[in-house]
Amino acid sequence: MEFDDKVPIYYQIEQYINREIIVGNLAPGDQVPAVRQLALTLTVNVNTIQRALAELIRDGILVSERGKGNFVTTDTAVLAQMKQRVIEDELAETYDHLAGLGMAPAEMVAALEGYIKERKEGGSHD
Amino acid sequence: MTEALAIQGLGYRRNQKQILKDINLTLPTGQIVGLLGANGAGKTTLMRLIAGSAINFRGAISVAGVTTAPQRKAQVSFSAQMDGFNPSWRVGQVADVMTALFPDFRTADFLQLAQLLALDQKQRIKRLSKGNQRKLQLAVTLSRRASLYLLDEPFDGIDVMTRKAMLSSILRWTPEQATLVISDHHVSDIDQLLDQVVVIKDQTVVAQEAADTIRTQGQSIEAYFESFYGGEQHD
Amino acid sequence: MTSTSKVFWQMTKERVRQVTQLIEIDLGVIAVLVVMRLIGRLSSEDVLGFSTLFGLITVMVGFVAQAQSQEQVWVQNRWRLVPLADWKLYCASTLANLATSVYLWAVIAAVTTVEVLVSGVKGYWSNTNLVVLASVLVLILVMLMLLWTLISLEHMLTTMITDFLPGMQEKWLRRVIILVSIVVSLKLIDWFVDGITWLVNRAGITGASFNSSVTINGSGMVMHGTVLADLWLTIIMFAGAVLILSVLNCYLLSHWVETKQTPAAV
Repeated sequence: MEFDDKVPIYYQIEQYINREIIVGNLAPGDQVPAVRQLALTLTVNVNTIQRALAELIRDGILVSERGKGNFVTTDTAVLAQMKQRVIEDELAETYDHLAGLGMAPAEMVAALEGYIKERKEGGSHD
Repeated sequence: MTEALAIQGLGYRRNQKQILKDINLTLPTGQIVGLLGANGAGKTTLMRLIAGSAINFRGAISVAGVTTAPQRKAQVSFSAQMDGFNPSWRVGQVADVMTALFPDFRTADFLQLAQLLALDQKQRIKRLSKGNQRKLQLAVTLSRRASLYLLDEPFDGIDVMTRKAMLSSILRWTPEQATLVISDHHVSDIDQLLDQVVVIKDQTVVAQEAADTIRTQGQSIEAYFESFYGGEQHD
Repeated sequence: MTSTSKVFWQMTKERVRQVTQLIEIDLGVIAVLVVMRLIGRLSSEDVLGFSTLFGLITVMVGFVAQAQSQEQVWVQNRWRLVPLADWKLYCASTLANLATSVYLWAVIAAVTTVEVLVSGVKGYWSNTNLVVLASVLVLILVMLMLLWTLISLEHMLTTMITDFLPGMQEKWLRRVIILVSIVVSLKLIDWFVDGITWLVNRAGITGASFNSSVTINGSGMVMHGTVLADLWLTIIMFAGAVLILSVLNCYLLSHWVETKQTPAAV
């Protein structure tokens, strides 16, 4: 996996796992792969994975069961909050980018609506 | 737990030139450390001193709590330990020789690593391409059960695919409590593996920092390393 | 920690393999000589003479090959990074050279004996006193050890000096240092031998007095007794020199002699 070299990798892995949960690759209650396995799959240090998982456990996204491993929480409220935060982060980034182009909020809304309409109509060639 | 490496007041001269001076460095167990420095900065020399190839130094070096040369050699696996192997030997024979000379060498691990890195047991060392020779060096180094692994520019002249295989091997075969030091002057080769970096410049350690700390400040490790060289041109 | 015996066996294995190649060449030459005898171009005496000569050459080349193997041990990472005290490494290498030499001589001697028996040339072995012969062999072995020890001392001193002095890129400078160190070492040996001889004379031990206090064998061996005593005196002297120089070599090895580096690295 390719990483942004200016952001701590453990943070990027947290984001990666959050997204896996949001898109459904990891369902509530699913077991997360073992630390060493994740390290190999993502080609990062075991310590980095451990830190990412520790943060996710602290946030309540993951639950650690002694002797069994780490599992995605079944608490759907927590997961919904997490999804909300991720969406907000994306929106914030888009907002900042468009504002940087000099667009006012009303313009942004109009542009987005227009774009979505076009995508739907030209939808077949994706 | 004893530190993987503890160096105090290390100084080293050779040919009447000061190569290293006032080096104080402590590395904890279970980490992957990048040893960064320009060409000729002294990275290899530092590794040679730790491993025991270079012996005429001032100061103290201890690895996993032991200080005498033979004890340190038992705790350190240095990528240069194949220097002097007969080039006519085959890859398979390398394992036999290593087993005879190093009690902590695991032939089973070596065979798996060789397979992972696509090394042919029957090939003679002298017939291996430069990349394959580097892979063999890595396989040999990681097949020893040591507390401290020293890899000197393992990716020098290696193509992208081989590097990925080598990175994978390093992750898979480094024991959990062991510490691995990789020297490189191309930071991007290794930066996503590093727990911390140690920068060598002007014959001494000018910085030791956790990778996460550097990145939290929005800087890539490469940029961090280059900041020590100001506007200088280097390799 | 690696065991000294494992290192010894690995060294011996490698050196024996090298020496066996030399033996094969020797056998090849003998085969050629035998063929020439069969087609009538050489006499039996000539064949024997040439093959003995070649046997000697093989032994000498073997000596050089072993010296080279030994010198590599001091400056190659594959040996110096082995978790073993340097003095034990030194002993292992010395013993490996001894073992390899014994093997080489035994094979050459056997080959020569076979040739002598086969060719039926008479009078080759005159009445040889086995005890004296054995003592001479021991003397030669000790002399070889002294030579290897001196070569190692040379090499270590030169390595030390070239690591210490600046401007060592010049080849001629390195060669001068090697020459100087050889001259200096020979002078040291000279002084050492003089010193021992002086000591021996002071203590009143001469070959003659040795003879009178040691009875080898009643009948007709008294004459050999003197030769034997002198032989053993020399052996002991040389062995003493080997011991002292070896201690010096071990000290240099663990405090000064570092391994070679590949050129690109610093």
